[in-house]
Amino acid sequence: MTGLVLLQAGLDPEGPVDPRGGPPANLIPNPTDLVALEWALALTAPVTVLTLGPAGAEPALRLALARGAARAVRVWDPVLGEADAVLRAGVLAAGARALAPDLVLAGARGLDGASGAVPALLAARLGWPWLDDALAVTRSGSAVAVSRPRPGGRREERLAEPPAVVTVAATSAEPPYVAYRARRAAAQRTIEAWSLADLGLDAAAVAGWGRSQVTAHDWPRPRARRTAAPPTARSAAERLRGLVSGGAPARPGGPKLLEGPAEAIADRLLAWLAERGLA
Amino acid sequence: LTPVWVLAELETGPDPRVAEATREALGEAADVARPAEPGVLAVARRDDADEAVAALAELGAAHVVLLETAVPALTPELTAEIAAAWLAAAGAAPVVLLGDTRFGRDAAPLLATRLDAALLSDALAVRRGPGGGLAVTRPARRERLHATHRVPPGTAAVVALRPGALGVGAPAPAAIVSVERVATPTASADDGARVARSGRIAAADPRTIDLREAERIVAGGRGVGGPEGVALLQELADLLGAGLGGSRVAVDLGWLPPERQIGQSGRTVTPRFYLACGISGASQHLLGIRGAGTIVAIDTDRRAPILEIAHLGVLADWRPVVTALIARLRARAAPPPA
Repeated sequence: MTGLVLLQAGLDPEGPVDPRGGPPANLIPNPTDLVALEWALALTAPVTVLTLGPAGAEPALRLALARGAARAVRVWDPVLGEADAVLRAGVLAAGARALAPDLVLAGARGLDGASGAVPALLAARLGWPWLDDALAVTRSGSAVAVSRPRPGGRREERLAEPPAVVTVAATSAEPPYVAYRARRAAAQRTIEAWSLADLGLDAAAVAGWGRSQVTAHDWPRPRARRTAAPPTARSAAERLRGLVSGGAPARPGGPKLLEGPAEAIADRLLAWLAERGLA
Repeated sequence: LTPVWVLAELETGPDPRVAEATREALGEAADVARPAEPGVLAVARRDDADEAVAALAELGAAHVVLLETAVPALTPELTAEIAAAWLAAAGAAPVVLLGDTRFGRDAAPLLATRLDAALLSDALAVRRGPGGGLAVTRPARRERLHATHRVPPGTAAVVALRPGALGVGAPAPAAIVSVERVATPTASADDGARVARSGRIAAADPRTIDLREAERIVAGGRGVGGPEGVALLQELADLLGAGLGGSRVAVDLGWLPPERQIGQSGRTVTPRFYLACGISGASQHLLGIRGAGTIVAIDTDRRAPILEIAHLGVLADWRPVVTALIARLRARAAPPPA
């Protein structure tokens, strides 16, 4: 089974930020994508790493090569500079078609911390099944199986036949330290730089794939949340109390208190819980 | 004018209801659609349709479209496919809002691809842009900046809103609630679509569950007295199917491992049921249990702060009460004598 890891290289979110842009900064690999690389190395061979990015993204790819990836491909065209998720997914889909892997892996979260929509769009575009938020990835016969979190600590097993797209949770594995010797060796390796034409795409046509555009960056100004206004039938004091307690009804006279012998308390407590479907 | 829709996330089962994230999206959609009204689009299995209509009518939206399907199991992906087919047939590039919940994360990318739409996940706010179109606020650089994404007019858009970011306003009086029920053609099981399938769902082991995920928690503090007290609480927790946690004191004294600590310097927990034994309720601890559903506290001190926030307080020594609870729960679990 062959693997393809989508490695996002972007501005370091911990670095200095400036709404007006600021000087060009180093591009770092998305840590969650490096977690995906670990799963790819464990399950598939050979592993190819694919990045959309300018030459500044090469150190991120070299790190992946040092970690054990067999091949690194960087696709770039100025059109991709302002690309939205839909456009990037389209180009990555062309890359996935060209490289024809059995399994595409990526991190479930982007470098910005937002839920990664690009791998999901890629899967939808290719018509491949998408397994999201994997805590563990395994082979199950011919299928690939992931375990994903469910409410209450439950774990749901999801299966798909390859080729498939898997996004992994940031906590699902720990990328190990990469030895200096391996980094040195990776510095000598070749990173394949592809243009859109190499993927059989026309830059002008690709530019038309975008569906949205970032027009401005601002300092965060959280918007006021909507709240349900308390009913006007209540007194002003009651309405104020309702607002500051987040809408929770005030408990007149404080909480309910149980007292008495332990046996009686236990019985009443269990009955109280049973009423609420808790025991 | 661009039609604005909210794709409803329906929780079916014994207690059918519309997800909180859908209510939030509807509030935002009303602002975006003004002066028109947003529509609510929902997909339900034919067997669940009546319950779904009842749950949807409570939203107070003027126009609700319920797409009924005969599939045996409805996944978010299938919901997206059915909704997209209906929206595409309705013409006019729509704006679809939904919550960025697990449902939304599965449904939104498919919906956007089928509608040839922009996809904006993890959105914090949506407004009408100048000259039509949309202006969507999303976090950038890990929340340190906000980015404004513009969708040009005439382009379809799918916006997944971060749950909890917008809040739910006062329900608008339901002027006209028209629920339109549309039967959708049944997709055959083998129509060539390659999809992921679900395997078994493994229940969590309450003894090893991460407390942040636990639905029930039994916790102890200084008042439990020592490791033997903790062992008694563990017995109760096992019978209730609850995770065992504790206050900082209990962890500092070595009665519990650090990952079992609840409070500001430990885990912030959101169980449906929280039982505190011998915890007075320092503000640091209360901060960690603010999101709990039902809080029951057992303490001997009438003035303990935890009794003020508890839904039910028990003014007693915890040990005899817990012993009695264990005896009753064990009797209930044992088969009745023949």
